Amino acid sequence: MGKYTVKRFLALIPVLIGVSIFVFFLIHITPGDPAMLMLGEQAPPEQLETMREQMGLNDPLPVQYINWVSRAVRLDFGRSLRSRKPVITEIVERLPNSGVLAVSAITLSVIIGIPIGVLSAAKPNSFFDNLFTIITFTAVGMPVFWQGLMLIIIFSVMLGWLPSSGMMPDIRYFILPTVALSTVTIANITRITRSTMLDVLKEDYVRTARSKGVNENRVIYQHALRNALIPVVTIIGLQFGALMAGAVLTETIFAWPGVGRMVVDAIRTKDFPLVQGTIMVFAIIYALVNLIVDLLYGLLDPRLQTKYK
Amino acid sequence: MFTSKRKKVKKLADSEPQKSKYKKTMKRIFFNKKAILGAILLIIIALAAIFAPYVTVHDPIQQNVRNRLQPPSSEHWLGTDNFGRDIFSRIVYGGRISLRIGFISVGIAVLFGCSMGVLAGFYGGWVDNIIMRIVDIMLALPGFLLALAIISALGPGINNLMIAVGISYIPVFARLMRSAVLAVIEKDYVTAARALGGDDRQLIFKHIIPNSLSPIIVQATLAMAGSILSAAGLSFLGLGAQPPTPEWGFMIASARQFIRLSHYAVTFSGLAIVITVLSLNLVGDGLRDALDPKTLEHQ
Repeated sequence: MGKYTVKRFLALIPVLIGVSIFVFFLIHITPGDPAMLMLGEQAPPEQLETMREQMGLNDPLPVQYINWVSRAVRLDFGRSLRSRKPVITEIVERLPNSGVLAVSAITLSVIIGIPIGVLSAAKPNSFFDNLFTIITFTAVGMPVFWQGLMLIIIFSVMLGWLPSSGMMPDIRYFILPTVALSTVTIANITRITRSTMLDVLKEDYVRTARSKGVNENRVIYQHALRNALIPVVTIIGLQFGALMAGAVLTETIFAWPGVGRMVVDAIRTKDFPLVQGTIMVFAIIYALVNLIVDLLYGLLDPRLQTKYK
Repeated sequence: MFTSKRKKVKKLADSEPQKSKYKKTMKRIFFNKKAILGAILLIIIALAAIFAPYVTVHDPIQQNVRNRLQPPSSEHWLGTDNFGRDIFSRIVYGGRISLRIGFISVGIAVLFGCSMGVLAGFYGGWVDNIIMRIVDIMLALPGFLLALAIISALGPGINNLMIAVGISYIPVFARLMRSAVLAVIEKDYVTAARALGGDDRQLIFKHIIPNSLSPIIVQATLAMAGSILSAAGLSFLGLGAQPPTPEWGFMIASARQFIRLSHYAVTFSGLAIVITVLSLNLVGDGLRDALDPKTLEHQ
């Protein structure tokens, strides 16, 4: 297991180097002169020249990249053009807000998705199963931002029950963003739980348990569910990616002071150092979450442990 | 005479099982409720988009401020937006844009993704290694965020939007095509074709691609749904279509500040996205059930 962990960890390095090259070149794909983008079009030529010198734009590209990346590994992505604060400070200030939202969305998805999936699989093609199949199928096709707005229209404009935006230390502010962000994840976890449960219920050990006369509830919740949960854990890792993307839109809708809304604002105001830093941080978090899920998978499934010993 | 008879026999042997297999597949697609329901919805949406000027009465762009934020009526079926434009017309014309975005971005993804997948699967070795490492890097960011990053560099606009969303779907097709090629390349008919002196290009275009087509078609349908969703999201953030283009995501964004006065523009534009994405997902899922190689093998 230790060997596998190290191996998986080392495999991240080339991928992150690749992402850093991509992120570095983002500003060079942009049509126009980066210095002019930063100072505005009316900037006097002398000032542009100093800016170019300051940004190292007169150096050859590989040199620029090495300079950029050697600062990036120390988490120094430069300063935001707008607030003049270091990019990493801006990100770290908002990361907990996004984290709270992501964790509550994942929790809600697991609490709702797994039971529905199990109940659907226990009685396949029943009324209950068909109803939830239709609901989950529709939920997957709903744009996150539209769903957020519909929740605001229904629960804050029409009914006046919940606040429409902002983040306050009050649970009511968390309800709508969490629901909006978790809908797609709930639907996906339900679908995966249902299909893995159906597969597991066909296994020999389930038939053996049934033929021994074990109570059907016990077969489902003790024999089958435990084995079905293993693939579900992997899906949670993949869902985390969808959640990061959803967070960008959800945070914009609900004026949530998180990293997702910050990156959208940064793109709109052409705050390139902030965009580069945030995307790099997104990639690192995504990679780490998937690594943790992979390792967790190994811990949960003893069959895999012997394979990697 | 002798040779012609042989030819005839060979032809029969060749075409007979293929034709019935094709027929069987078509039958399975035709009897799949999901695929049929999705296809009907999709045809309606596509026809409405193509014949938009005949379906709608009002101009989708012309403003009429005196008539703004009206609820649905017999004159304006779905009401009017904050500039007094007919929401129904804007949604129908918006279908043109969304379907075009879906087609072109998936086209980009299929073209580049499949080429990469074929090269990686067919040549293996270092070619495979380099291509798959590039794919790994593209997968290091969730698709929507990759598209967001690319469009932040390219700048807003529909063309850039299609490029960004298209690129974000390349890894899906590269991986799929690579595994499809690896599955086909071991088959006896490929070995036979190679033994008969077929060159690489012939092998790829005559044997490998036609035999890997069905998973690609399924994935392309599902990717179209996904890319319409992503594109609507990016347009909602103001990075895609620019005013006054009637694009669904952008329509939701611009009607957003008026939801306290009138929610119809937001509600109906969103429903248009949901129905389109749903119908594509239905077709994709239905086709997957009908074309699944696992079930085909048992025939």
